[in-house]
Order: sequence, then structure tokens, then C-alpha cells
Amino acid sequence: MSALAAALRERALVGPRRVVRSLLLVVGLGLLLVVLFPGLFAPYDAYELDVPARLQGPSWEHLFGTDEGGRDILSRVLHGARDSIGSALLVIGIAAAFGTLWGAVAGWAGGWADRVLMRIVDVFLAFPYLVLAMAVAASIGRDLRSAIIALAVVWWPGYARMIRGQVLALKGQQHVRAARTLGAGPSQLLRWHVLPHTLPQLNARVTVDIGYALVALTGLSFLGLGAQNPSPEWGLMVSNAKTYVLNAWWYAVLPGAVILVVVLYLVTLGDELSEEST
Amino acid sequence: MTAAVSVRELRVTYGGASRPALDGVDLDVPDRGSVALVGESGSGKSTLALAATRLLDGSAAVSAEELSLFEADLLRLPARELRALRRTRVAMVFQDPRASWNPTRTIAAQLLDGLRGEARRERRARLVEVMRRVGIGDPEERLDDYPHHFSGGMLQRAMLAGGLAHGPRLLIADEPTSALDTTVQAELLTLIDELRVEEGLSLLLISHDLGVVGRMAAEVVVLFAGRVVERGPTDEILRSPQHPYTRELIAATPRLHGPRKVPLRVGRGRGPAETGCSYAPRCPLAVEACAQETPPLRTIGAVQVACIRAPVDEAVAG
Repeated sequence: MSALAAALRERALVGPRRVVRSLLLVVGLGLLLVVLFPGLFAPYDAYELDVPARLQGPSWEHLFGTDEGGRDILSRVLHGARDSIGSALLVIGIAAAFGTLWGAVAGWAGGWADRVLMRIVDVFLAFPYLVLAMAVAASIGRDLRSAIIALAVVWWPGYARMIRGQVLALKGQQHVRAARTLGAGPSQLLRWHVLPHTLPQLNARVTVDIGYALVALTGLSFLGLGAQNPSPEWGLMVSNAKTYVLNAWWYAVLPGAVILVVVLYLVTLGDELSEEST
Repeated sequence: MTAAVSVRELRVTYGGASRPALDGVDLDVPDRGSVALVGESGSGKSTLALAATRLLDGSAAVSAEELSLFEADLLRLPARELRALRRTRVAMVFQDPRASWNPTRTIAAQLLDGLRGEARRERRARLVEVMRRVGIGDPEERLDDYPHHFSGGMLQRAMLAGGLAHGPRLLIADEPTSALDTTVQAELLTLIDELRVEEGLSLLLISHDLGVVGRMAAEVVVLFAGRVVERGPTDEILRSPQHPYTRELIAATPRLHGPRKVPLRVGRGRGPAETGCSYAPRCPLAVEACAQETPPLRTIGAVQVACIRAPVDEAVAG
């Protein structure tokens, strides 16, 4: 009886781990709803100015206070979720797709093709990623789109390296060899016998990386290389708040705290999922 | 008569290894013939079977004077034709049935990958037919099962079916029954034997079970540390083994009656010798000359032996 209970606990089918996991997923669902339908949750419009009510502190009317244009900061944070989290998702989506393709080709081909492809990856990884992202973003234009492209450009090599390693390990496995003797061609082997088995690791990495991409993206916006006014993007909002930090603490601190909490949440979720898959 | 497999002076060295996994090995499987490779773990049995079909991956350096399947030169064949040849002529069964299947796809999906040329319905019909041929009941339904729905013996049968669907002429079985229990083993061996006769297949069998070898193969090749130490007709070799290593292998076979089996003389911290006869450090008959040079294969009666002390009977007597 106790052995069964221990086994169930270990597989996190019962017990505190299960509760933590369910909670994480419920929060995730909520976050997704905010990203998709911010209007449902925001009490005010994100853009409409109300200058007489500028820089009011947190109150029941404006939970997060108001900014220099009298706009409700909570509403702007909720609307900004789409720009911030949505863009982070996009960055990782592009990076993971491209990196997977690159790494799979390198690992599968082997030999000189592998060496050439992976040296290119090494070149990218040799740069400090944020510096490279800033350079790329600044050179292709200062808006959210170019920040997304820039981050995807610096982010894919990590995926390429990880997937290459996985493909190398998988391609020597018995079931791949068996499929080959049954006549499967290289594209079939890769598509059906190798790539599906990289998914657990890929999933875990993607969830953690979304958090990090959010930090990088808000960082670029903060530096003026990402979203531009009047966007409610979070990094830009903190950047705007710099000027008022001494007399309106809530303007910088509360959106900043939201970034902190969301990133912590995403990284925790990723850790939890990677423990599941290993 | 054409040869199914013809290999001359094959050398295989795995990347980073100090000594070759196979060193100057010859192998012939006659058309419709049956040859067994025996030897302990690491002797090069599986490497030989994989090299013979060029299934080793890029980290293994392969060289040979000749390496051909049904007279097609595998050393020069373009990759596409090599795949086609493997697909249409060779069926393979491996040791671990679970590891041979991708757990995420149905049996049908995995077997259909390799079939070409016809409408999907016809290909499926062909699969149903071969599944029935290897003794899987309800093939229509079982095809849509996942590997975990099958037992180990059934998976091996399905693997055979997948090979048979192409109408192959050579079956390579790499310890096909080692992972199965005894009754299933016997059934699978009977099936392989039937298929061999009825479909006119050549068989290259890898095993360390001399009982299986005696039953399945007309010819035996004994490998030790990447070299052929003895080869010849199975009956001859099982009855009067000439090489001391073959004798050791036979003495280590478990028996129901008669003398108790003798364990292999491994695990005394001595690997195969670097120079001379690689078996010398374990050999009860070794003399000084054994460490001097690698003994060549000599013909003694019906068999070939790579031992300077052979024929063994005289050596023991003297």
C-alpha cells in the first residue's frame, strides 16, 4: 500500500508536486487569456490620455496608479502582455524552429557538412548574445519587429547545438537502424524516427527560454531598440518611468515587478516540465 | 551460382579505437546457403553483419578488397542504389525486439515507410499477407497496434514480415532469439527455417548459442577479437573443433546431460594479445611461438583453422 503511494507520489500523480503542477498550469492558462484578450481584464483603455489625472499613486480606482499621461498603468500592463509575452513566444518559436532544422541537418549529415554548420553556430555563440542582439536590432530599425528578429538571430544557435547532439545520439539507435533495413529513406528516418524523440528536451528548453527571451526583449525595449511609444510594452514602460522614479515610484516599480514575476513563473514552469521529461 | 555475401580482407576500425574491430576477415554466404557467426561479445560478429550491408555509421572506417551483396559492389555503389539494394534484397532481425521499433508509431506506419511503388491500399494488403505468413493472427487489426501492444516474439515476427514484404533474398539475423524465452525462441527459429526453405533465402545468423547454430546453419565462422579463428561445416566443427577457442566455446555450452559446462576463461584482466595469436593469453595450449606472429588460416580436413597447434588432438596428446 505504502509502496503504491510512494510510486504515485514519485510520478507526481498525487501529493504536493501535483498541486504545484496544476497551479502552474492554471496560471499559464490565465496568462494566455490575458495575452489573447487583454480587453477582457483591463479596467481602462491603454492609450487614452487623461492628463489632469497624471502620476497618481496606487488607489482602488487605479490599482497600479497612473502614468505621465494619466493612463491607468494596470490596464497598460495587461495590454502590454501581448507585445511582451507574445513577442517572447515569437522569438523562441522562430529560434526553435530554425535551430532544430539546422541542428538536425548537421547531426544527420555528419562529416564536413556537420563541421561547417556547427562552426557557424560557434561563431554566433562566441558573441555576448545581448550585445549582438543590440547590434542587429539597431542596424535593421528601432521597432518591436526588428527586436524580435534580432533576438531570434542570436537565439537559434543554442537550439541547433542541442538538437544536433540529440540527433547524433538517436541516429545510432536500434530502431533507426531497423527502420533503415526496412527501407525508410533519410527524410522518413529523420521525420518519424529521430525528431519526435527530441521533443521532450525541446519542450523543456522552450518553456525556460521564453522567460529569458522576455527579459532580453524588455531589455532591448528599455534601451530604446524595441517597441516605441505609445506601445504599452513592459520594458518601454519602465524606460518611460525613469524620469519620474523619484516622485512616482509605482510607475517604474509595479511594471518591473510584473516582469519579474512573469519571468520567474515561466522559468519555474520550464524547470517543472524538464523534470517531467528527464 | 552467385554468392549472397562476398567479403574479402575486411577491416573495420571504430573512431578512436586503438585496434580494429575486424582485421582481415573473409566471409562468404552462398546463395540459399546458411552461415553462422559465433564468438563472444566484442569478437566482431555484429560489426561484420552491419559492415556487410554498409549499415555502420560514419564513425567506423571500413576497408576491404571486396565487399559485395549479390555481386553488387557495396564499396562503390551510390547511396541511393545502396538503399534500394538493402530494401529489396535484405531482411534483418536484431537482438532486442523492443529497441528495434519506434515506440511512437504504429506497426503499419513503420512497415509502410519502406514499401514503394503501389497505392497505399495495395501496400497495406501486402503487409497483411506477410504478417499472416509469419504467423501473426488478425493482421488487419494488429497492424494498427503500437509496438507496446506486441510481445517480444511478435515484434520479431513483425520485423521479419517487414523484411519479407520486399521479397528479399538474404536474411541477416543478429541474435534474433537472445531476448526471448525458450519456447518463443524455438517457434521463431522454426519460422526462420521454414522461410529460408520456402522463400529460398540465404541466411547469415549471428549467435553465441551453439545449439541454435547447430540447428540453423550449414557453415560456421568462429570469430575471436576481430579475426576468423576457425571456419567450416557446422557438423564438423561441433563434432571435432580444431581451434582451442572453439573448444572453449563448446565446453561452455550448458547441457542437460553429461559433463557440467565450463565457464569461458575470461575476466582475468587480460585482453587479447597485441602481437601474435590474439587468443594466446587465454589459451591452455599456448607455446612461445604463439606470441611471435599471427597464425594464418590453414586447411585441416574440411575446416580452416588459425592455430599453429592444430590439429588439436595431436597437440593435446603430444
